Amino acid sequence: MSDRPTALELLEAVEEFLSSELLPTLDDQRLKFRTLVAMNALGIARRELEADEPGLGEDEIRELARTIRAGDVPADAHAVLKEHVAAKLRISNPQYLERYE
Amino acid sequence: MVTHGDFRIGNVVVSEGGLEYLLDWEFAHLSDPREDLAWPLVRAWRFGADDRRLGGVGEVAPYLERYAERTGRAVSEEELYWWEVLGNVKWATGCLTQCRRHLTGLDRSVEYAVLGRMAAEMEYELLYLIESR
Repeated sequence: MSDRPTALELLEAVEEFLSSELLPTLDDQRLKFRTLVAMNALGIARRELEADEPGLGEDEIRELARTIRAGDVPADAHAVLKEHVAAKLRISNPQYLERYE
Repeated sequence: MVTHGDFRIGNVVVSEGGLEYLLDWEFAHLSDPREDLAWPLVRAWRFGADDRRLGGVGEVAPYLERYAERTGRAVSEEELYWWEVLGNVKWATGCLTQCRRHLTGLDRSVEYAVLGRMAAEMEYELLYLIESR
């Protein structure tokens, strides 16, 4: 058991530093863009730590891919995959899913 | 025929006088012209303006009409479906390839790293395209 701040709290601290202290001082557009990308990366890591829905495991995905490739597509394959990808998007880019509403 | 390979709004320079330049020819290759035609339809290039299927700026029907006028080649929206699906697969693998440049140490970059997680957006779009068919 580590001391606080937790991993999550450390990520938040770096995100806050980048957005409120570093970003406003940057004039170089390229550097600004890369800083926003870095903040996005931290956000992904933070949401992954917070998430309690890992989606399908690697073995399950591999097994599903094998059955689909063999031409034996499970009836719920599309729904299962959609939910699996949605779970990944809730971590990588939650706003993206709103584009399908 | 020779195709551009990355024909989308971000690579087109226009002025009030019309088309000025088409940029970034490094992906040019021999292919079916429908590959280029469908590429700007890929959702990733709509930049959030999803109702305008052509690069977030226009509709597909007038685009294909104009294309037919200029080239004499009639292409239907129906035909482009397959190429739009392919476009999404191409950009998903493109993201994974860029991410690998970072992960293998070939070209360390936070931008490339994050692209690895962007591939899921194309996965979702592919499932949507399959479903909507």
